[in-house]
Amino acid sequence: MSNMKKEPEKQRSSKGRRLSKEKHSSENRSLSKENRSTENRDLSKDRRAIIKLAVTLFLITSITAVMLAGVNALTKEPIANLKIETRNKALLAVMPNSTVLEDKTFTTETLTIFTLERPNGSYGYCVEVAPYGFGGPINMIVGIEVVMNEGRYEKRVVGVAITSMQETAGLGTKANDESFLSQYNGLFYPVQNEDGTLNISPSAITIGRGDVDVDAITGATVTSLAVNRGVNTALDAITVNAEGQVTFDGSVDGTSGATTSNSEDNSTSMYLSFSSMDDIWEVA
Amino acid sequence: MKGILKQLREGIWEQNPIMVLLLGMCATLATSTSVVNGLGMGISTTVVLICSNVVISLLRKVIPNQIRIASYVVIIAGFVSAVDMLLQAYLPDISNSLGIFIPLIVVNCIILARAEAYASQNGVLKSAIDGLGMGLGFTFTLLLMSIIREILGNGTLFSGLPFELDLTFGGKIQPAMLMIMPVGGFLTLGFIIAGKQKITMIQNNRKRKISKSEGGQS
Repeated sequence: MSNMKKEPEKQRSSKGRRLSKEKHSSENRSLSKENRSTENRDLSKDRRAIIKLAVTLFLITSITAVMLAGVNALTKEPIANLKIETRNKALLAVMPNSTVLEDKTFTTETLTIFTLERPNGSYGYCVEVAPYGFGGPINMIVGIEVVMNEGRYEKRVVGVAITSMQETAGLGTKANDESFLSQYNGLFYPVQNEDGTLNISPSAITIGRGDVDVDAITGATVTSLAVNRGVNTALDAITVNAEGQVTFDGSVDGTSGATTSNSEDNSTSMYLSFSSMDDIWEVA
Repeated sequence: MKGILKQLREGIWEQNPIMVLLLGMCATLATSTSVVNGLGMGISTTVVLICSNVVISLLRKVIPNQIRIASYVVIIAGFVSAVDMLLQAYLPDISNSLGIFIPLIVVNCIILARAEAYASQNGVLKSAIDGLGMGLGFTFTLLLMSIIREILGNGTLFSGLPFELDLTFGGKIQPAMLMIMPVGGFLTLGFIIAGKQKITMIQNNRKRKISKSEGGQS
């Protein structure tokens, strides 16, 4: 410790000497060889000082990195567990008392569809999407069931839950309020038109104010629109044919809501995860 | 002991980082929308401030003058990342609602300013107390602002805590949304600083009067 205390003093004094010498040498730059050799010595001293600085900074950075690695190792597991726990909690909040059928989970790069067995024996689908909000992706889960209504199938929103977001605290975070999210419950999208043909237009739950399906949050329009886009995307990701058979559409982009690639590619990606025909089930 | 109390008082009142030094305005305006957020931000900043002050004070003779700012930023960033990970692991609710603001503690000028102005020139214990005082001052002001903004702007108090209060009488009163928007933050901050100035003025006047009357008697 005593060595360390002396160091800055030494440095300072040598610096002072160097400064005066530099002044001196610049004045008589071309005069004598002696001066030039002291300049060289100064340069090597400078170099040593710079290396010392670099080494010190490197040491500080490495110690910090090691410390962070320790904290990371300590918290990695709880964080990962918490993420799964939040996800499962959100799945069950959307569809209470259901069991997640892990082997029937369908994943693309931008969305995940969980299949749940509901208490009455029917299947429910929870689509995990991440539309881009005001401050980054809003991770949300949209619960959808397929039901028969007046002879026609429809995709109906059972519930919406937000698992994580980076929206403005106090404004955008209101998207997580029950009063906003519950507006989606029961909204539906008919699978068939009235004449029996398949309804292929994309889902369009409207949001805003006035004559719309969902009232937007005041002061958080971007967030509200993002959540709405997420719900519409989720509805589109689940395709139902006229017989009520459910397939998952991998072409839907869960981050933006736009359909990315052509449908042929997606059907293959779809069947990759559902190898046998038994895996495409009828809605009870 | 008296010195410690005086130092704490300095941080909380006389040299309050928000009301007097006007440091860390960005984080202040952004996180004072609700009491839970304000408190979470305040406590996290206090923890980081104490840790970074202690470490920087310990290393003040090791860190060369030329690279001190770089070293401070590395140390502060290290602590902030650690706090961020710990919050995510053990207090996920606070971590969720503070979101982006935790990483922003790195660039919160309070911490760098205290490292540069105090911890790099004072002993470990003194620096720790300075960190605690400044952190408490920051938390206190955030709490004050967020109470005002949450009541007026959201119609609730302690929203998100078990003893949440609803002050809108079941939605009969429409809260002034303005107050939780950035505008409301500036307004509240302005009024709080003005109030603090007024109190300080009154205190100074009283002190002057007392010293005058004492002078007259002697």
